[in-house]
Amino acid sequence: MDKLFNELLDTLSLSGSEEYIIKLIKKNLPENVVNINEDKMGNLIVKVGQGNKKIMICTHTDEKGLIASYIEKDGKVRVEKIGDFNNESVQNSIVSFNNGVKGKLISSNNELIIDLGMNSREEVLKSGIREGYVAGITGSIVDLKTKILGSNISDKAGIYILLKTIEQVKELHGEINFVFSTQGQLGGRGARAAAYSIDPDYCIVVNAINSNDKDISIDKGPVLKIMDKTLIGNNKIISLIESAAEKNNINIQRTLNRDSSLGSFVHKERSGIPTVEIDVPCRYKGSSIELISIEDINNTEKLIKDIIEA
Amino acid sequence: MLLETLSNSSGPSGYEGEVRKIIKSEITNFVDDIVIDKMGNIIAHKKGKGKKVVIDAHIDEVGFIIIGYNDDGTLKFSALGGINSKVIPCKVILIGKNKIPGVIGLKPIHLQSPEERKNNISYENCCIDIGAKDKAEAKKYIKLGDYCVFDTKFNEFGTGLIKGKAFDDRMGCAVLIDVLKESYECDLYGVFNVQEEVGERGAYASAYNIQPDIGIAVEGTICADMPNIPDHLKATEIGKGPAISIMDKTSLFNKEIINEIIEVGHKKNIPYQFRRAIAGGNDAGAIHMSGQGAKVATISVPCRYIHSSVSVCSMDDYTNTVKLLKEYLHTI
Repeated sequence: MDKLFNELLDTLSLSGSEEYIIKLIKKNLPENVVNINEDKMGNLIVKVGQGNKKIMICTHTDEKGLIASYIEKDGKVRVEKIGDFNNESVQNSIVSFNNGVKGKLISSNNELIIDLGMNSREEVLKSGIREGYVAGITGSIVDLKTKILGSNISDKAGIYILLKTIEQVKELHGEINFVFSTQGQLGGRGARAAAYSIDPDYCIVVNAINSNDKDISIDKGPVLKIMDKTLIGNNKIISLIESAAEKNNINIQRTLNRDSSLGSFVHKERSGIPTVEIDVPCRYKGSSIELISIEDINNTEKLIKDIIEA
Repeated sequence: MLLETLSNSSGPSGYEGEVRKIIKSEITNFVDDIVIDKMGNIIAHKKGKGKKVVIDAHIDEVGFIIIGYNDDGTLKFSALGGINSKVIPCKVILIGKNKIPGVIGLKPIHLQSPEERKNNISYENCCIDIGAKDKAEAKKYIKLGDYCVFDTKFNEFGTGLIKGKAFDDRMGCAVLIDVLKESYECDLYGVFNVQEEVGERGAYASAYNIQPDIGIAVEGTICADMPNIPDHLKATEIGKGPAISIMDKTSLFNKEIINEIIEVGHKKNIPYQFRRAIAGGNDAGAIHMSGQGAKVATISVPCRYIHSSVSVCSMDDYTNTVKLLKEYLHTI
């Protein structure tokens, strides 16, 4: 596994606290990249190239998380979800707050509670945790050589892909805005603001999608999401993607589903922005142990690069 | 008292005129510039050299709107904003500019079938009775689209408590008016928005025109501190101070601003609590989803029974909310 990917997976990046991973991303940008900006929503926007076309390639930087809503007298921390996932898929995980305090996540009566092993509210407060603090699922990152196991892979794959694309892309016929956006777990709130500021000719959002090995499989390449609950992929951009895939011999999968897209607010911004989502397939997405294929990640990065250079 | 005037005035979503007039006259002498925008929002500007800050309150309250006539002279109606059908039967309401009184009526229990008694009350099963004898007479006094508000008079009661309608969000309006009476270094916009209760509609427009760095919504928020409710479901509690929100359906609040507000609370000895629920939404959601976005926060006065005919607040909580917000603005 690439050292960079490991570092990304190892860095807790919760919605509203993306600054740690944004710092890591900035550190890993190539030296010749100088047009780097952070906006009011905390998005990191990296601009490369010049030309008539203005393109936005966007991913999100936050992972699924939990926000402490109430600390009981006995030291148990009640939490609410930030993101779209089930209690069942994450219960019994080890979770970690930003300040390093860890605990076990329990699901009881449809409510999520973190047990920090502390005996009183005062003890919890003293450890530096209060209401409003956010925690994420931690767990081992396991390198299976061609595959990777980890708790937040689906939320970090996009970052890795964008970073690699910035590194590799050579022939630019336009201004490419790479957006590492915030609050993706909440429907793409950061992405919307970036889209407003950039006002691109079109936008491709890069994310991950659940692989059930029926209509979407791992090792079969990037997934082109034709349509979901919040976004109908723009026909012209879909054609662009399909011809880039064909020309460069990249196998792509296609799907339609009822998910929400990171591009849901992007395509409605300004006078409308043609938007399509490309995803990396990921087994057990939204659970505390997800599985992804390194080949799929590489092929998705190749596809994005080929689209930009076309 | 300003709170009393605001609470008693009529201004359901889309029909905020009466309240807008009152607020405009209250703040005129304390701000550099007032604009009423295309949506009917009041945008008051106190010029400053620092960060661009929007403090927002919404002028509209939840109410009803007349959508039809029954043959017997009663009226069909719908809600403006969210009012649970369980709290509407047998309430007195006032219709339109002329404040024509009516009663929300429901089929008496002894005429309900066993199923009906078990079922929830619906708006379709209720009517508004203004005492007209038939449709023709009703039409003489009431037009389709006439708005209604609860007929509730503001009052102080108990120990330091107040009751009245529309505390969500006349509380916020009163706090904001009070705040605008002092001077600050930041570039401050006091925005009184319309149509929050039907989807923060005013706030999208006003935020778009201002493009603030920081947006803070001031609300009257849920307070479920009743005897049979477990602590973690109470959301907020009366008497424990202004409530700082952590997250709701429309916003994840900025942790730096929350920390700064907490620090002000400690330094200036102002009590505060956290709003423990993540339900609900408010104008802050619209503010950061408009234009370039913004860092947002929400401070609220805890109000029991909001979105019904009468709410209850503590005067101390109100005063402390004003204090906390003023002191926080002095640090920006």
